[in-house]
Amino acid sequence: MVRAVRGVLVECDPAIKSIIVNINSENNEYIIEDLDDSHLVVQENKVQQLKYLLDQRLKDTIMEPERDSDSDRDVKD
Amino acid sequence: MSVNTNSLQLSDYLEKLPGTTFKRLYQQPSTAFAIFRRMLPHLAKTIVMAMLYMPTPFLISDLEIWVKPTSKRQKDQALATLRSLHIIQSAGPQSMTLTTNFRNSLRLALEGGGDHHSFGVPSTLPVPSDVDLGFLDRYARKKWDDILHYVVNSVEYSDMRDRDTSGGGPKASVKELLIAGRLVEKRSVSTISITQAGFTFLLQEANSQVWTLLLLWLEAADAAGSRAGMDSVDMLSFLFLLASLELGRGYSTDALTEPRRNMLPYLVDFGLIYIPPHDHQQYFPTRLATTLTSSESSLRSVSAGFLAASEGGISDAGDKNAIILETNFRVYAYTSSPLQIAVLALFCELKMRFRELVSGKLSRQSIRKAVDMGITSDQIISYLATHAHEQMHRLAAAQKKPLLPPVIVDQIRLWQLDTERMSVCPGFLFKDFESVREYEDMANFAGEIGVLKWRNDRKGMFFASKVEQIKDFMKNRLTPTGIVLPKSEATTTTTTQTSRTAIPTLYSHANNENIPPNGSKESLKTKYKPFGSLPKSRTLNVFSNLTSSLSRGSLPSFSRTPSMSSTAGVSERTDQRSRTASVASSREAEVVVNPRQVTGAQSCEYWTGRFMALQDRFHSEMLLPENLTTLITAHAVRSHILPPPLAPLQAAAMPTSSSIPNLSYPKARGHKHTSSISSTSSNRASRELDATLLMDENNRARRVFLHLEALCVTNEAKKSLHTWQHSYARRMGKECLLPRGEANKGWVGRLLGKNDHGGKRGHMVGVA
Repeated sequence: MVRAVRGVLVECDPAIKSIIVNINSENNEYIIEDLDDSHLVVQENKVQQLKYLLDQRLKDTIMEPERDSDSDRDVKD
Repeated sequence: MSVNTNSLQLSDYLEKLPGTTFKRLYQQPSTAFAIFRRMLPHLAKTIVMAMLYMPTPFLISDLEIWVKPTSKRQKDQALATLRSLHIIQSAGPQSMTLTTNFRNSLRLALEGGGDHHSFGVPSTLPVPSDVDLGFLDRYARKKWDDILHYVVNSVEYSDMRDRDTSGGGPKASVKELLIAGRLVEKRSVSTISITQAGFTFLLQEANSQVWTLLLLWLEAADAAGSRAGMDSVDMLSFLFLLASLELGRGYSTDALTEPRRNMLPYLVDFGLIYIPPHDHQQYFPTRLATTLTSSESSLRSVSAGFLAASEGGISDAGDKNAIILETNFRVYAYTSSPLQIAVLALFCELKMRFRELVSGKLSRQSIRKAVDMGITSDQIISYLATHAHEQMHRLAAAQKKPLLPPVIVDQIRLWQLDTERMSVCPGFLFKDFESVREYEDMANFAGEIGVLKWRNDRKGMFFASKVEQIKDFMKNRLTPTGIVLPKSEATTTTTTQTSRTAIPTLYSHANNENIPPNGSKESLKTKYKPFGSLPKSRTLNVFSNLTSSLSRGSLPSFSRTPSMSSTAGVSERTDQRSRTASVASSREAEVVVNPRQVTGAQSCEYWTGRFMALQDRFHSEMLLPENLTTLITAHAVRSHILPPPLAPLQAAAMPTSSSIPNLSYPKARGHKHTSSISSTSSNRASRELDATLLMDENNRARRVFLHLEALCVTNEAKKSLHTWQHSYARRMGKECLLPRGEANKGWVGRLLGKNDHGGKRGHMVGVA
């Protein structure tokens, strides 16, 4: 019998996907179905939380470029 | 995140409404007209107009002729929209009609007439001298400005013009609405701040903003329930009414119902209508109200929408060309409009503010903040482009370069990409299909109506953003399959036999095939000549089924000649499809692999068995309800006139040229007795013909032979059949049953020409 599962389709890079899979592996509470390299179906009510966690991970791993100083700045700072 | 256009939001709202609500909505011609005007794509409008005065249901096959095959997608989407708005309904498996209320209302709207007051009742009172178009526009702009400023002022920006949010500004009820709709959020007791939805709201065109607010209002009214004395359906229909009013004209408040009169104060708060302070007998719709359902404004871009927003909904080119963007990410804006500064502050780090000038800088953080709020990079870019200073235009023209420095544009996009690591789309994953066919049907359907987001044929799963119509499709698809058809044989046999006779076709054949002869058989007995003295009985039915199953089993080595078998398969399939597409699609697979086909030379016993089985099956056709009626009707006609001898009737079906006048004889007689039978005379004539054919033993035997011949996929098989047929015909002494070419030449052609069922008969040539 056909089943229709409610969820959110997430499309992302394979790299990001692997991070999501990694996040999921802790509690297994996000992913409903792993579709392919760049697609996942995720629990609808967990998307925001997942996004937040992903941002946290990325903050740790991605270097933020330094704020370049410029002459305007000294007026306010 | 994209900015919704207003029709999108409205359609989302409407789609959620149940069918009964639509029934009520469509009672008002103004509503039907507004929905027609506002909510439908062009193709859907064309379809509706075509169907509006059509007396009979519109065949889907006819529609398919109208639409180019390349535009099938658009057509399906148009139909899906019409269905979701309950404008069309199915009038049968392959046809549709407009829903009654919608049709009547739209006709009324177009033709005028009726006393529905659906387009407002103009007031007869004199128009106050101060109320003119300019005044109404200023009034609406002021009201709407107040609302927008309330939203914008919530943006934390230190240099904002101080504005006491508790004084001035919109009414408390409107503020509550904005907070309830989460356009702004209360961060603490006194401060509020804009939300992502709020910013999206801000960037929308005025028309969408009005709808956003109105829909919030409707939802609030829904939530409050009947306690508040407001009915969201009635409210919505009143809004559509407002949209159809004429700007600058006074309308009578007395003609309104009580609940609608209660709505007026709110509409005044929104700036949709104006009521003169000293005269409550009339109300004046403003431009905000009269443009509610016009589609012109929906074409405006986001930035133009923003412009409209910044100017209170009524565009009026102000100081819009103010922004200079340099390649070093610096932004200078020559403006003092608080709204414009507030918007700049959303994606710019503003550093200095002078009189008439603010300066700032785009940075990764500032863009990221904006993206987090729901603004897209494209929105920012198009905002910067639209508001570019004329110096920028001059420079770009002189150097033949793009208006905005490409490096900045690219960088803004890249910054956004940085923040969007994944894109999300809520919806439903479909999986665990029972067959590939089911999967493909449903996935293709989802693709056609434009809700398919992802599919993987190997895994047999797909993801769709909306589920309602797929559910309907599934239901419709399941119903015909749910009918238990006896065996694939039954389907093919029925198909072939109906294509060979002049019997009115109905799909119930397949189901009723094995109904044993019942009491009504007695009435037929006189015309009923059992074949070869074998009694027709339930036992024989069982026997024949047994035979057929045996014969299937006796074909273990089953090698089909591709060319032959495919021809037979195709013609049978087309036949089926012409009757019901869904049955065909679900049974196709079984038809292709047809165990009834004969692949090699067969013995005499084998052909006797197959012949008997088919003869028996065709015979029981006579007892199908519709055929029985045919027979009885024919019998009744004949009993009123001279009892026509059976012999000429049989001769009618005999392949002699003299049969033609014989056949027309009962027809002509039938005309004289129209009163005795309710059916039309032409119908009766064809029924008589059908009856004749039904009862004719020779005709039946011929059908059996044709059928068997069609199932022979090799020449050997055909040859052995012909040998058997030959000996059968000799034994029975019936020359007409000889294989074609051996009997008198070309009887098939005469059989075809003789009766008027060319279409059905035509198949015979194709199959045999």
